[in-house]
Amino acid sequence: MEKRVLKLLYRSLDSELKKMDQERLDKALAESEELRECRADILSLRQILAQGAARSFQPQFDERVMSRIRSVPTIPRGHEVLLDSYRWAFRRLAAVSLLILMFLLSVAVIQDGLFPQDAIFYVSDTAISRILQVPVF
Amino acid sequence: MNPVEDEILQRARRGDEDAFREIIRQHEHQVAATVIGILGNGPEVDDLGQETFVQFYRSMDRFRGDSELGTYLTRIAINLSLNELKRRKRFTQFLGPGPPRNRNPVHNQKEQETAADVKGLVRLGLQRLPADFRSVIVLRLIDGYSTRETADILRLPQGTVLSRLARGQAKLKEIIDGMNGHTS
Repeated sequence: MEKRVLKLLYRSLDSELKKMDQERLDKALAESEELRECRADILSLRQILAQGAARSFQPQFDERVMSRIRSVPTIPRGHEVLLDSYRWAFRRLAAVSLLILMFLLSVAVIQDGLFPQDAIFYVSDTAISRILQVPVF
Repeated sequence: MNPVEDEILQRARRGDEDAFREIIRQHEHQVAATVIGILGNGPEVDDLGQETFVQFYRSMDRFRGDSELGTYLTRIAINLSLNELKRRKRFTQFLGPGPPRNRNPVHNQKEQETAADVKGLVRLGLQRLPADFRSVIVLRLIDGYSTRETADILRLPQGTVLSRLARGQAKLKEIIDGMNGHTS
């Protein structure tokens, strides 16, 4: 089946075609059994979609909505907006700060400035002599 | 908006619970068709339906009546449903695609039973359609909105709606034919 004709067939179901396109489609429909079958399939598919859809929630739906509305504390709208904007700003600020902090820490560690080996492993002479003088028993 | 609906809305705005209940009852089926059409009949559908009305309750004062109330609720419902689809997709991406399986055939016992009737087959096919096509098909063919209204709800040009509708139907037919071939 020609793709262009099929496209026209679908389009024809939802909008008016140009005269030339309509004539082309009519001609193709008259000539092709396959295209006619295809149109019948599409029309039945559309009918099933329109009629076969589930259209209800579980019973007592309105009760559940009302109890949900009652359970949410009512915040004055202005405050709600202000709170939202604070939350929005803080989340982004926190993420950016964390990234900057991690970057600075990495630089410090790489350059051996913040945690030099000496600072970690250095023990003074006094401390060593004190340790050595302490009797074990 | 018709005068009766407008009056009910005014009462709901003044805090009349019965009036808001009336709004829920009038539009429940429309919202259900949209949410179930997009997400399929799962446990989260009821929750999303509730959330649609809760969001409307909170934004009721901002609703100016430029569009029909049903259209406004459908817009909330479809946005929530599409967000839920995105959330599911992210969740699947995070956990990985799972065991490999053929996309077209009917997967398990439950699906096979559902697919036994044509309506079930169409419903299953719809769930396998990409979200862009699905939303247009649900609004236009299930909810029965016009092309212009569908475009308005999804904030898309009408040409895009028409093209997605045509491609979506073609794809849906292809998916259903594939499932049919496998089960028969």
